Amino acid sequence: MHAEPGGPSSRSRFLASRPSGLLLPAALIAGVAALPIAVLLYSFLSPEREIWGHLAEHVLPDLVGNTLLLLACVIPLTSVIGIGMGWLTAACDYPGRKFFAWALTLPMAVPPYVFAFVYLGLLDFTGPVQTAIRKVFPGSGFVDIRNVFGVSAILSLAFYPYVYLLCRSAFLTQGRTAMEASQTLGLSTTRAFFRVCVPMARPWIAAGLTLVCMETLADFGAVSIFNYDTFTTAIYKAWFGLFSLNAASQLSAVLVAFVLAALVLEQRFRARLRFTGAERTGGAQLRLRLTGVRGWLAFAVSALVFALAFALPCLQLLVWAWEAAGPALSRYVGLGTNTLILGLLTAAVTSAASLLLACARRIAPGSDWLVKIATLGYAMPGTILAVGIFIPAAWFDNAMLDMISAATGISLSPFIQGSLGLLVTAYAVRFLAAGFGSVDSAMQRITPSITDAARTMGCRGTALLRRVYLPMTRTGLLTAAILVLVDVMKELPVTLMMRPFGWDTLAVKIYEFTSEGEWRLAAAPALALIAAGLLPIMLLTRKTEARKQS
Amino acid sequence: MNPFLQVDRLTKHYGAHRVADGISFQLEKGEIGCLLGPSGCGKTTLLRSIAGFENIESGSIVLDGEIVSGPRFVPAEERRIGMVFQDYALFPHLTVAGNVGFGLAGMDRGRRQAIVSAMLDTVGLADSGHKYPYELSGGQQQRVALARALAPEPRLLLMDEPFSNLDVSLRESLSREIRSILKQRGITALLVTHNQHEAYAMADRIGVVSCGTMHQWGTPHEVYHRPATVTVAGFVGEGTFIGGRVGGGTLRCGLGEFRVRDEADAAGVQVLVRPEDVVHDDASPFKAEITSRTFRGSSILYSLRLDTGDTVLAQVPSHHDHAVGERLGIRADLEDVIVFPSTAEPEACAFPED
Repeated sequence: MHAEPGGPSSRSRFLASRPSGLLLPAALIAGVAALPIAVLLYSFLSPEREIWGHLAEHVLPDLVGNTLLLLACVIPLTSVIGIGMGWLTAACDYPGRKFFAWALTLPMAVPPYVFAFVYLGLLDFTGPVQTAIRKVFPGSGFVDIRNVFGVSAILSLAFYPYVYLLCRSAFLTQGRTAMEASQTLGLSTTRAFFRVCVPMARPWIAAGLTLVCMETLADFGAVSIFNYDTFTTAIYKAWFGLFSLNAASQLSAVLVAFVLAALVLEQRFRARLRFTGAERTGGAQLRLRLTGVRGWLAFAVSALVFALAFALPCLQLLVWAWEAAGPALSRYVGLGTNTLILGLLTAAVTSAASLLLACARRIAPGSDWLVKIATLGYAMPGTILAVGIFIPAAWFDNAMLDMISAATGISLSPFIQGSLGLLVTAYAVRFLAAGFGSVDSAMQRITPSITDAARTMGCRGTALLRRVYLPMTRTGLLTAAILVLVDVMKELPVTLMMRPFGWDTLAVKIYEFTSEGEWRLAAAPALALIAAGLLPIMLLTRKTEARKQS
Repeated sequence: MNPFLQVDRLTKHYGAHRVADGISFQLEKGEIGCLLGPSGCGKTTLLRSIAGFENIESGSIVLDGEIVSGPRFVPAEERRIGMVFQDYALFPHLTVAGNVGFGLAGMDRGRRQAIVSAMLDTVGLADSGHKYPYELSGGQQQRVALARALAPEPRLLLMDEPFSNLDVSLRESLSREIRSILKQRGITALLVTHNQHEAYAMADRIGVVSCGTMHQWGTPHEVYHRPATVTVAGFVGEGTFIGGRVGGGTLRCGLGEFRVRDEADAAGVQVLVRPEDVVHDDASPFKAEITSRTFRGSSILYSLRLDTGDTVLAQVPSHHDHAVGERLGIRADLEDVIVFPSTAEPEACAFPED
C-alpha cells in the first residue's frame, strides 16, 4: 500500500507534516556554486574587443587545435585499454584475472601530474632508459617524449580506469548469453566481441569516454609539465604571467563552452544506462576460459598495463624517494600539515553542505534543480573555477574597500582575495558532487516510514536529526569526507592559483619540484598522495563487494 | 459511553482525486478494527490521517474524548498513537532493544530497560535484544515493530498491511499471536489490509472501504453474510451474481425459488451465490453443466452454467471428481438470500492511490 518513496504522495506527506526552512540555505549553496559559471558566461557574452581580438588571432587557434588533437589521441587510447581490459577481466578467465580486475583500477589513485613527471624522469636524457639505449646503441639520438603523443599516453594511463570500470560493469551485466547466442549463429569469439559485446556496451563506453574527455579538458598538471599548451595552461599563464584577469576569464569562458558540451553529452549517456539488467556475477563457468598461450597472452597484456599504469611509476617513485630521503623529509612535514588542514576544512564544509542539500531534497519539492546546480562544480576544470571565483571576490573586495576608504579614509588590504576561506570555498564548489553523492545515497536508506515511525514515538526536529538522521547517514558522511579530503590533497590548479601565502600543499610542491627537474625530491610527496588516493578505491571496492553480497 | 475512536464524515482529496469521502466509523475501547479494501481504495490515507501524518479537509477524528483532527489538529508526535508500518521501519542503526526503547526517551534507565525486556518477552524475542534488525527474519522484525509500537503504551495501535511482507504460513500464526497479545493487554487497534483472511483472523469489526467511501462497518459475520452493497459482496468471499425476479415475498432465479424477507417486488434483481451455497447432490433433479474446474486439494471449485445461462461456482468435496462438460446435480442451500437491484454495479476506482 505504501507509495514508493520519492513519489508524489510521499512528497506531499513531507510537505504536509514539516515546514521547510532548508530551502534558503540550499539556494545559497547553489548560488555560490553557480556564481563562477555565471561570471564566466557573462564575460563570454560581453567580450572586451581588444583582448578578444588578440586572443582570437594569436592564441585561440593553437589552443583549440591542441585541445582537439589531444582529445583525438586520448579517446582511442583510453578506449582500447579500457574496453580491452574491461572485457578480459569481466568476460574471460585467465591466470591472475581476479587480481587484475581489482589492480587495474589502482591508477585512479595516481594524479596525472605524478604520471607525467615520473615518465619524464624515466625517459629523460639522463634517465635510466635513454642511458641504457645509448649504451647499447652508442650515438643514437635523444627521443623527447614532450609532444602530443607523449602527453596523450600519460593522460590515457591516468584516465583509462573510467572506461574500464564502466565497461566492466556493462560486460558483467551482459553475461555470457549474448556471446553464446552469437556463437550459435556462427560468429567466432572475436567477431562476436566486436559485433555484439561492444555494441551492447556502447552507452557505458560513451559515458566512460565523456568522463575521460572532461578530465582531459580539466587537466592542468600533466600538460603543463609536458609544456603542451591547452586552455588550462593558457589560463594559468594569462593569470600569473600576464596578470591579465580579462584574458584569463575570456579563455575560461571558451573552455566552459567545451565542458558544458561534454556535460550535456554525459547526462545523455547516463540517462541511457538505465536499461541495465541485474548484475549476474556468474561463476567461472560463465566466463570464456582462455587456456594455454591465449591465457598467458591475456596475462601478459594485463600485466603490461598494470606495470605501466601503476607498478612501474610507484617503483620509480620509491627509488627516488629512497635516494632523496635524508635531506628532504623534514620539509614535507609542514607541507603535509597544510594539505591535511585544507583537506579536513573542505571535508567538513562539504559534508555539512551535502547533508543540508540531501535534507532539502527530501523535504522540499522542486529543490532537485538546486541540487543539480550546486553539484555542477565537478565538471568545471580547476583553472576555470579559480578565475570564476576570484573575479566576484575581487569585485566585492574592491567595492568594500572603496566604501570604507570613502567613509573613513583608511585603506585596508583586501578581505577575501587570497584568503583561506576563498580557497576552501573553491574546493567545496569543485568537490561538492563527490561528497553529495555518498551522503544522498545514505539518505535514501531513510524511508518515509522511518521518519513517520520516529514521529509516532514523539521524536521530531533536532532530536530526529540527532537520533535518526545523523546516525543513519554517518557512514555516508564519513565516506564523503574521505573522498573530498583525498580530492583536495591531489588538487593542483585551484591551489596553485588561489592559495594564501605560505599555504603550499604536497601537490603544489610536487609541481614546483618538477618544474625545476627535481624529480627525486617530488617522489616522497607523490607517494603520500598515491597512498591517500588508494583510500577511496578501497571504499569503492568494499561498497561493490557489499552490494554483491546483499 | 462514548466510543473510544470516532471518525466522523472524514473527507480528503489529493488534488482532484478524492481519497476519502465522508467516512464515519467508531471503535470501542479494546476492540480491534480493520479497514478492508482493494489497493488504492483510500484506506491507508485514512490510517495516516488517524495517525496524524496528514490533516483532513472536513469531518473530525476524536480519540478518547479528545478531538485530534478536524476543528483542531494534534501532530502525530503528540497523539500517543502507536503504529506498525508495512515495511516495519525499524531503525537499522539501533539494536532490537534500542528500537523498542526508542519511544521511551526521557525515562530513567532502569524503568526503560524493564519495559523493553517485558515487551520483548511478550513478543517472544527475550534473547534477541542485542541483535540488529538485519539479523532477524521477517516475522521477527514484525514482532519487534509491534513491541516498539506498544512500549510507550499508546492509546491506539495502528497497523498498515502488517502481514503483507510475510509468507502465507507465517501470516496465520502471527496474526493469531498478535490478536491474543492485543486482547490480553486490552489494546484498541485498527489495521488496514486488502486481505480478507487477515481481516477475519484479527478483527472484531471490519470496515469495507472502496473508492474513498465506507460501504459497510460491521462484524466479520455481518460483512460476509449480509454485505451491504454489491461492492462489498464482490470483494468479500468468492461468489457470482445471477439474475432473478422478486414477487410476493418469493425470489425466482436459475437455482429455483426462495423465500425473501422484506424485499420489494422487482422485475429484475441480482442474487449473490457463494460457492458453499451450491451443494453437490447426485440425486437432485436440478443439473448444471461444468464449464471449468479448479482442484483445491480438499475441494474442487466447479464453474457451472445453469440452464438460464447464468454462471455459479460450486465448492464440492474433492472426492466428487467430475469432468468438464458433465452435468452436475446440484441443490441450492441459500439461507439468507442476498439480493441487489439488477442495476447495481461494483465500484471501480478511476485513480488508484498507489
